Amino acid sequence: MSRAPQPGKAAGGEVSKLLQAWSEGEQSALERLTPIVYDELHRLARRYMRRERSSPSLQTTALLNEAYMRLVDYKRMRWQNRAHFFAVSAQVMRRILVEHARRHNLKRGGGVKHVSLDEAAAVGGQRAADLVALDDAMNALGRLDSRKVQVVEMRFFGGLSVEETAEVLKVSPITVMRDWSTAKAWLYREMSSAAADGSGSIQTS
Amino acid sequence: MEADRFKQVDRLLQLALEHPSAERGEFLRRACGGDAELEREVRSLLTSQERAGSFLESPAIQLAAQALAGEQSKGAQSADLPIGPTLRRTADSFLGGIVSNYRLEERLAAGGMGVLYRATDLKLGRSVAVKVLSRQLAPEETAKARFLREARAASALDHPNIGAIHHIEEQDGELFIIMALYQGETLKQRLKKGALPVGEALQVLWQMALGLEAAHRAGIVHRDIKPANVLRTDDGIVKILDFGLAKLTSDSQAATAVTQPGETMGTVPYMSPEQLRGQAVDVRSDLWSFGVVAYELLAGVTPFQADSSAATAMRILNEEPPPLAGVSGVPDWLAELVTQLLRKAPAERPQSAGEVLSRLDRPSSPTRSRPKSRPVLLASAILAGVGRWRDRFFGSSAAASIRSLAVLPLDNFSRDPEQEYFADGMTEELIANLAKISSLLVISRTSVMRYKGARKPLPEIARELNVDAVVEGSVRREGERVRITAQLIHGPTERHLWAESYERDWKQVLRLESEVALAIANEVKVRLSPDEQTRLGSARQVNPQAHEAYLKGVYYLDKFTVEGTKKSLEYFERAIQIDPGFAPAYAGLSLSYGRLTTGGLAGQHGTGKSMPPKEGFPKLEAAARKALELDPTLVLPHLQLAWTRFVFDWNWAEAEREFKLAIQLHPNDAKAHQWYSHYLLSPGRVEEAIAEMKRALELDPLSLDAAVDFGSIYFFAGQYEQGTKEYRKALEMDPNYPLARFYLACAYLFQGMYDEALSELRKYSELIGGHPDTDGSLALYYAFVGNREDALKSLALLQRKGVSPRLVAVIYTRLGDKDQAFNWLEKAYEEHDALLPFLNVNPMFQPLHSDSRFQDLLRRIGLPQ
Repeated sequence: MSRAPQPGKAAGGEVSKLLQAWSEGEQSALERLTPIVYDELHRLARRYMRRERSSPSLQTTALLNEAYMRLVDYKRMRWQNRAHFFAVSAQVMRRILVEHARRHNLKRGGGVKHVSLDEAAAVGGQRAADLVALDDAMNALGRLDSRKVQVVEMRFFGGLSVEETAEVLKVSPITVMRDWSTAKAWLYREMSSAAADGSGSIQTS
Repeated sequence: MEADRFKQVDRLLQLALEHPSAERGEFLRRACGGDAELEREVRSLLTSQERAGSFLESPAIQLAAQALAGEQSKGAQSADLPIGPTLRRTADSFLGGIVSNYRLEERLAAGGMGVLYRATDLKLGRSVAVKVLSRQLAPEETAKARFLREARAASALDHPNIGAIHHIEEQDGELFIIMALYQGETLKQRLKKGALPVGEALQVLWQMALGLEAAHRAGIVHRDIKPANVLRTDDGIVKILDFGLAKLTSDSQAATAVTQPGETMGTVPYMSPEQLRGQAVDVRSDLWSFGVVAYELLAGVTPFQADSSAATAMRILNEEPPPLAGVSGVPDWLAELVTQLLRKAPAERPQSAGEVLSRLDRPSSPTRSRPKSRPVLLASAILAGVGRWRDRFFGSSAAASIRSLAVLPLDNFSRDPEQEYFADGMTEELIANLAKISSLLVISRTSVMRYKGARKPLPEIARELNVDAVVEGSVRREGERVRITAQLIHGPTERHLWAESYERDWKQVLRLESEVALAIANEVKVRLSPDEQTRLGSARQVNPQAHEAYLKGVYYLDKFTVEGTKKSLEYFERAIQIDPGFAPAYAGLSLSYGRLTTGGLAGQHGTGKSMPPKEGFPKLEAAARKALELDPTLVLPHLQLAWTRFVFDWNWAEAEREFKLAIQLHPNDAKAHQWYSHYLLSPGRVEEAIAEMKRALELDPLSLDAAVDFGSIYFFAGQYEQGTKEYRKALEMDPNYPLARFYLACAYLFQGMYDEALSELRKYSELIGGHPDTDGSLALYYAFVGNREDALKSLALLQRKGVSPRLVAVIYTRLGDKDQAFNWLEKAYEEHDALLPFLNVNPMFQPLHSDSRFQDLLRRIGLPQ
């Protein structure tokens, strides 16, 4: 592992404390956690992308675990804090992705159609639009049922399991599963109708 | 919508989901109690719930990582960036899933073409790589057809330096390419460590050129040669990947790469000028890209490197690359070769991979890093590749070394022993299917049928048939269900290589047999031409009753008796009545007529009354024509036509054309070679006849009539001793084969071994169920020893049985009665006797050769005089 900036060492104790605080209901802890987690994820992701193809299976848990272990004095944390960490990461992930997609779309305007294959293979094009649409739809869903959005956030953006999600939200796993299925159906419908009637922001949002 | 209302919707949706899907509608109607809007809302969510499938099901980490990393590294790495083609696909719906018979187990890589997985072939238990073509590339239907055609053609490429494509699968509109899985690194990965030492680079280039040469020879252009597409296995074997797959991207890339300045690097650095211009490309475009790779391997940088793809493209089109000669260690000749490969005009480059190979293959020279010669390079490649390479070429891997096999008679596992004909028929059809694969030698049925019920050790059978492997299995038919179990066993070691059980509706049985054949072909890794694949894949449905009648026809035809043949005729006709479109039944009918007309035992040797040629041949021909009309790829009707042209019409040119066509269609058909050999023998083309008969015997090593025919070539060529040897060999296989006894007697007669001849003729007589004193079998002996009285007595007995006029002519010839001989030959001519084409080579008629009437006959038959 590189000897370059190691925010984890510096932030270790702090992140643990913040996580602890947040898991105990202190919302402001999240505000302070986010930039730390953002930086670390950003750095790790970049390294993953540059890695040789010999270890190509880029998995959520691998990446998040690594971030977690670097940021948190994990030996002293209860595993539930790990779940909380993942939940924070999930929010961070969502923010990163959606912001990136919006920026990308803004820059590209309506030119998505002419994107080259290689470019489409990188982030952009249809997917960027999809992410923006997903974010919009999640915001709309959040106005009806905020917990369902959290479930989606943790499971899709954070890669948390049903059990981990249940732990963070302090509900039963079956509730998570129900929330998940309703949210999926709702978001799917929302996104496909947005795409179908053309009023959605598929290309230019 | 308000939150409260949403809660209600949510609750109803969840309750509905707890009902079986068929009952959900009813439940909602009741639960919503007339609130139409509520019901509509829940229903609509139910629908999208059903459709959502894998939507969001796997985390967006891939996207996130890309987004995070992409901000900085866009460009140079874009071709290697993992992708999730759409949001839904990012939720990797394939991972862990099963496509056809492959379980996708690990995502290995992703690129512009799609996502690559490591997978397990559940049928064969081996690891493979499966590429799922990305949706963005999913072609239009017409383009897809073209893509499939090309990819399948490429999958037929079998070369150590070409990454093997096992299959192309299509499932639910997705294209899956199943490829061999190799351990190693791509040149792209290798190049990250910098340039290669010259010697190492040459080894890579040499192997690449070998692969290109093989592909180009098969008419396949890669179009996307680049370091990321060339893999070097841990054994040091270079594999060019993705042959036949690049076409899909190349068109659009050529069109867009240049117009998106600064956006993408992709494969632009490796594209040829003609590719960049969107012009047609041929093998020389691959050679350009090969040149770029060569340059990069040696110099560590691409020759037209620039900041953006647009700038790179401009340099490719307009500029000369910095000379390689300046790179240390690169010999001048190699620098010069690369320079020539990078000539803008295709016509100025080396014109073929073969030419490149010969340029790389230089005699030893003072430069140490230069390849000394081709053998050295190959040797080092072999040394490096102790494992896979050796397996492939030196046969330590059983499956890979199988080039010949025999299908043993499938056991009849049906409850009804009467179903024997069915099992035999399945065996025959399986053989026929496998025989369509020209690169595989498949033993003909007559030879394998001799092992029916035999309890010999498999290695012994394999040795006797001279094959690498055997297929054995069983057939069970219960009503309209057919179950086939087959296994492939390595001959020498008796190792089981593959086993599979299939059960189908009888209607699908022909397709099932094709499937079995394809599975076996796949297992032994033989190369299938696209044409062969089509033919194997095109099995039609069959009417079970028609098929049953047909199989019974084949079964009775196999009895080789006049009664059996007549019965087979009835069954073929019944099959045609039930299904007038069933081509094999017409082919069988044609064969039955053939047997009755000229068929060995019936006509020639007095075991039964044959059908007069003038009646039989037209029927035979009509049936054969009908069969070909329905299925022009059948071999038998072609042979029947060829035979008719040959022995009945005496139309030599047409006959030869048909024979050649039949052999071309079915190079594995023993009969085709055997009959063509007859044809060649007739005008005395003895050497060619021997070659063809040898091939027939290779394919059908236990065929008695082929063995006898082989002896007869020597007999007709006047080499009686050799003929005797061959006839004796046939009798070793089966001492009770009457024809061999008869011909052996003839060979003895010509060598003056009269006692031996007499003894053979007596045995012959017994074998055909007669008695030498009453069936005229000894006529020929008496004629040869000059016993005119007994000869004529025996002849009278023969004639009473309706023997052919030609044989009568033989007796008179040997008695020195030329006038009678010509009288009977004239009758044989009138009848178009089937053996008249051999008139000139048959030593029996030698005493007539000087007679002008003989020359006249030859002229009328169209034989060389």
